[in-house]
Amino acid sequence: MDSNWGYVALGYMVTAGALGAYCTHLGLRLRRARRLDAGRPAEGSAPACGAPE
Amino acid sequence: MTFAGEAALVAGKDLRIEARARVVTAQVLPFAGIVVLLFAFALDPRRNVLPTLAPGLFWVAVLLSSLLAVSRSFAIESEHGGRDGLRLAGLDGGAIFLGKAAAIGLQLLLLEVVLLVAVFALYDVEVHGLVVIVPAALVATAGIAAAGTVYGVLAAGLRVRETLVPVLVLPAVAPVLLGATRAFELALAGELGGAWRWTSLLAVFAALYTMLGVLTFGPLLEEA
Amino acid sequence: MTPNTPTPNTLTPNTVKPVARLRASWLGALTLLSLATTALFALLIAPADSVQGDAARLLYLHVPAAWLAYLAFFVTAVASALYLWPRTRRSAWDQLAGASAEVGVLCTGLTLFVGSVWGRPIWGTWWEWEARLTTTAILFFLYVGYGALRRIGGPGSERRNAIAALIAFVDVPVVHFSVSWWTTLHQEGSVFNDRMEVQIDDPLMSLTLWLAVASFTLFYAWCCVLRMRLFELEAGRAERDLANAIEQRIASRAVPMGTG
Repeated sequence: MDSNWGYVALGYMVTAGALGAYCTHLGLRLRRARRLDAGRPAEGSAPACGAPE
Repeated sequence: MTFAGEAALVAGKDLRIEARARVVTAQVLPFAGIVVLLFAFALDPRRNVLPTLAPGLFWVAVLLSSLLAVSRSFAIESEHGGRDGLRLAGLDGGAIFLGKAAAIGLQLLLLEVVLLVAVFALYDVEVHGLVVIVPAALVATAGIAAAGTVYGVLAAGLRVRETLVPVLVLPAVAPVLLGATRAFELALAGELGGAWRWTSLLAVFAALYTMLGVLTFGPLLEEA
Repeated sequence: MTPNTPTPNTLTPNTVKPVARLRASWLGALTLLSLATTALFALLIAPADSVQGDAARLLYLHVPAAWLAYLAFFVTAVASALYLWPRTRRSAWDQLAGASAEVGVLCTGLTLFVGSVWGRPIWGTWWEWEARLTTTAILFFLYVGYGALRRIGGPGSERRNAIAALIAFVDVPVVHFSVSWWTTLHQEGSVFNDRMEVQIDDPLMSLTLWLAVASFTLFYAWCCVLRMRLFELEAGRAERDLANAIEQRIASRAVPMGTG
């Protein structure tokens, strides 16, 4: 039954890879979104309802 | 107007359009026929299995054709503000659903009759158990039409409707494929009890999606 | 250009949710810790199964992943229902539905993959048309379709998503029953004895399985939190982009009329 360890390894590696890749993907997107967010505080006010003078 | 009257009105409209445009008869039916032929070509080397596979292949052909029928049913609404017309006509959302689903179902039934003859003839199948086959086909078709109409309106206003509807509909109607194929197989083999069991599952599916359709069609039509 | 004084952007997460961010990091750390512990137990500490040998260790992945797939779908359905109910209607429910579905697709795919890998040494084939695997395969495609629908977005998408999720969810029991009936037809007295379970006689194996289920659930929760935050940030940014574009439009119109 030693050959089964190959399958076990395959299963665990792919699982770890998939879970890790997804988390990393989320983390990177979050970081990018926060950066884009942080670059905006001065401009981000809502427009005035009336026309500007 | 009564609920049933409104549904009949919508169904009549769809069927009348089909009678004039003949899209299902001239395009979807040949499509189904070609699919039946293609299956024969694909399985040719072992042709002795075609009679065994006939129920499954028949229902796959019907399912694929239903996608086209559903697509067509909502395509006719997207021209000339048809959806707006439906919304403004003051009809009950559930009635519109029943009308459209009934029209699709009837068109599919007609298609199935032709296809059944073709399959039985081309694949050399012995016909037994029609007493179950007919009800099974009726409820299966009702389920496919209902599910197709629900997902059709879900995707109605979207540009990607053509590619989205199959992805949504086919997994959802997998039970119909399973059930209808098994019902047909058992009926052809003479095991009517088992066939009736599957037919009742098909009936549950049809009832479920009909209920879902009646409840959700109105709100979904508003968004479309 | 635009003569308004910059006001602090209340949507910036930097100002609003430092506490929430801390909580997510804590959850993340706990998740990683428990996953690592699970791996340790599953691979080294738990004994090999008497019947299935070491291949049974794959079930410590397959079973939790399957559990999670169904949990995620359930959460998506509940969140969708809460969105549709007028009294509880909030965008956050749609975001939860989407986040849960995304992790769900991942876990469903994993369930199928690990199940297949497990099956190879046990059944001798990469696939068997057994009830759970087949139902999971259909579930996978239901999810994927829902995800494709979500990606369209736009006005009214939240309600559309919610209805789609509920329709799909209602379908699942029907799928389950039809597949179960179908597979029992095939396996009458066949050699298909090795079901996707371990005989939990050994307490260590039991512990490992529970640990695995807990770890995966933590992972799910963490990913949902992260994903929802991402939805929020992107929605907020879309709003601000729109606001900025409107401002600039107004400003560009105003310039010729102003005295410079």
